[in-house]
Amino acid sequence: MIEAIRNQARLLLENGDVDVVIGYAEGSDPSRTTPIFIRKAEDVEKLIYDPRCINSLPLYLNKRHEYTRKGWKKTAIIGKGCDIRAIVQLIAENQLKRDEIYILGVPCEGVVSHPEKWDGSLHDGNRASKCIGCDVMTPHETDFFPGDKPDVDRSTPYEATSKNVATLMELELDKRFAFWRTDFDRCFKCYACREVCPHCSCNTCITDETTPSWIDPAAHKKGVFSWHLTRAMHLVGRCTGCGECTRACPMGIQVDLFNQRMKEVVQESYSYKPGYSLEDKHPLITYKVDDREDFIK
Amino acid sequence: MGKKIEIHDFEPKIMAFVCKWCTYSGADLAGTSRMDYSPNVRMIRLPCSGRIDPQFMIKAFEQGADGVFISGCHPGDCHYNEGNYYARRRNTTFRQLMDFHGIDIERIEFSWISAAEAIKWTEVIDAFTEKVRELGRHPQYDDEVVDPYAQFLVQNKQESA
Amino acid sequence: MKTATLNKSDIGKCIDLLLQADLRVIAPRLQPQVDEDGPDALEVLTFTEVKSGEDHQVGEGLLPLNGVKEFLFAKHEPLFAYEKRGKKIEIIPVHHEYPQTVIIGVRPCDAASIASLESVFSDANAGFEDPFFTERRSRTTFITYSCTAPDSSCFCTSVELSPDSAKGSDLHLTEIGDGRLHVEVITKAGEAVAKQLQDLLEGEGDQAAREKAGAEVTEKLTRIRDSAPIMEWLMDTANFDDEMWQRLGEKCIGCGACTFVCPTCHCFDIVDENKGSKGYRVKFWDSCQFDHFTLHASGHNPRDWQYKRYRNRFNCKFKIYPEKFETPGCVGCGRCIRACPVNLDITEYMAEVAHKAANPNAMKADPDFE
Repeated sequence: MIEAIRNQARLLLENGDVDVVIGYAEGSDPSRTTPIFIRKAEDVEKLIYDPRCINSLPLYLNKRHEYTRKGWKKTAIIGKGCDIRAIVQLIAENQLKRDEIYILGVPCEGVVSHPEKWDGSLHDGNRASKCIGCDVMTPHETDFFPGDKPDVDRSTPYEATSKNVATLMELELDKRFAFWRTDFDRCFKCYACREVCPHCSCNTCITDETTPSWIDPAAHKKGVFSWHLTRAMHLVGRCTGCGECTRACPMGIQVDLFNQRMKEVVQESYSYKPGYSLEDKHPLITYKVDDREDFIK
Repeated sequence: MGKKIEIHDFEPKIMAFVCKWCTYSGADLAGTSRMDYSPNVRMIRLPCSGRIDPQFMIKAFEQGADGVFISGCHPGDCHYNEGNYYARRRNTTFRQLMDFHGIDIERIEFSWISAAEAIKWTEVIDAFTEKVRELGRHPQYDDEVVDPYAQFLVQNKQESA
Repeated sequence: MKTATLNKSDIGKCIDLLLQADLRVIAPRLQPQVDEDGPDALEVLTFTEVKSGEDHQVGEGLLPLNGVKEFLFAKHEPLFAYEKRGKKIEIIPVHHEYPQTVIIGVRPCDAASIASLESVFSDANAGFEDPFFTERRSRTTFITYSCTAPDSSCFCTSVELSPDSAKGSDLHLTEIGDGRLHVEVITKAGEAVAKQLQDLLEGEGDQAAREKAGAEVTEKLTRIRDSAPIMEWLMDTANFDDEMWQRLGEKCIGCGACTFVCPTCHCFDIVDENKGSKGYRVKFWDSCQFDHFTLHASGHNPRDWQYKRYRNRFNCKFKIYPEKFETPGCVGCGRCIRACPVNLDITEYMAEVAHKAANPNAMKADPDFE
């Protein structure tokens, strides 16, 4: 499978159809892979794809990571299903044009939840929980796919993949808050969760605004909650569920719990799953005249 | 002829974010008609309920508000045609976020109040204030969260010594 | 140097003795998770305050995620409070608690990093001592614990350290087999703590076993790099624009995770947290990897690409620190390698520099990057 991808990448580079191919290469450790930017056709041999390829590569298409300054006219990118959701969402939000991206789709049976858990193969003990029930194991939007693309029903409603969402919803309010208090006590506002997100693309993030200071940068409870609630709100209807934020957190906090809950809310209220349509606008920038308002006095 | 406003041990702080074309005018009408309503509410006038950023509501709780009230024109009557539809969507999701965070969503109220509905304004505000008064001081966003460095002040140390 | 033996199973009792002596005790502890055994569950080991000898993981696992930096150099703290009354501004002092603290279970890499922080915050020669740091430092004792099982990201031996080093330690513990620990009293502060624990310490220790254990664990490190040529290569200003910086640093996303978990990184920012006319001036951790770190008020940013920010980080660790302070900028703990979401590896930079230093005719500029 990877040979077909390498051959296609080689062709694209040799013909000058793309300026760069973004993919995965061997990392500095047997359990890790790393993003690679290939500009020369002979380097395509370095491309790999296996369950260790956990990175969400579309973040390099985000203007916050210098994409618009690179001068690439057309970029090829290797995408597993969840990454392609992110690309589709970026296109739906006008952050990218469809014709500036060449999507090399790969079939995926899941990725390891964390490099530490890699023991040579992917199995139920180390498959990331986001992969359970995945409907894009054969990706939905590609320019090249090695092999046949069977029809897949992707209309099943979104369900949170972490058990913790349901566990928390069963707790009483003060116990729920106590959980956030203890779990987020170790957050020190490094913003790794923001930087790995393919959708965080504001040129100046709201937390970096100082006049006025909306979100206190210091890592006391007020500053920490303020940041995570704001991040959750800004991703409502946009989060494509790659789980990178939780993986990137250096203190092992499950920061995407908020995002998973909001994805459930968006599914219930608006029957919408981000990342599947190139045209549909996400729910918070559209409206229906008869939207639900059972809570309004 | 006005209502008797009682003062209780605990008087909640209510932040209200209202649109200037409808709700603010409705509240103004209540005032000019000399109607009494709970004085706990502090209003911030915005051009449209669609201007209300969830950031404002988060910040209101952080600054010590016990309840947050949002109000705008009725659907179809928005001065800017669509602002209140977006506000409605935003609040549908924001309420769920607050609930997941462990904040009682009874502390967040959303209402449609037009410029002519002065009576509705007084009724809704009175009812909300009463509800928040019964809920009490916001237990999650307590002093430790609202003023994290108060414990460092020398005078506080001396007081507690 | 005074030495003794301690049973590893008595560490909990040691903690209890220290707590009874009214000391604040900080030890590695596994954080409770909501979903203990799901596929995403990770062991989260951090240094936190412990209130009982039964609640610790000293000597188990590898490196706590946070290190001991935050107990000397606070994640966030107020410098003073202020209140504006008309045109007058009143400065109101704040009072910090600096309890006597013992941190137990510190690995040699974290212990060695303390000298680096001291050279920035409490160098009398530099003419300024940061009281927030010095007050904490003078009241903190470090009980260190030699490593037994380094992982693939550890590289302390490549930066002139070892997994059984006693640098920065006050009281050093090394496993010598049969559930026993060889105890070494290194400093006066260590002596004071040893006195607290004297009921549990016995005998003379076993120097030979300790050295053997140290040598055995040193053999286990797999990530070895030659750091000798690095500083000289970095001092040559022609190498500042070498092509390797852009090639290796292109994938960096500027998340700042490496700087926050690094035991020697110490950048901080100061802001005023305002509420009306009152507020606090607050100092908190910052990172040179953030895109606005070197942003000038004019809008000019000398480090305007991410690879330039990582170049700065590498220079800071391997040139600026050793040159200016003669203390290590990098202690080889490997946290940045484990924490980096895109597997940017500082030891790859080290290897690349060593290669370039050995091959001075290697390409300096890459035309593909123009």
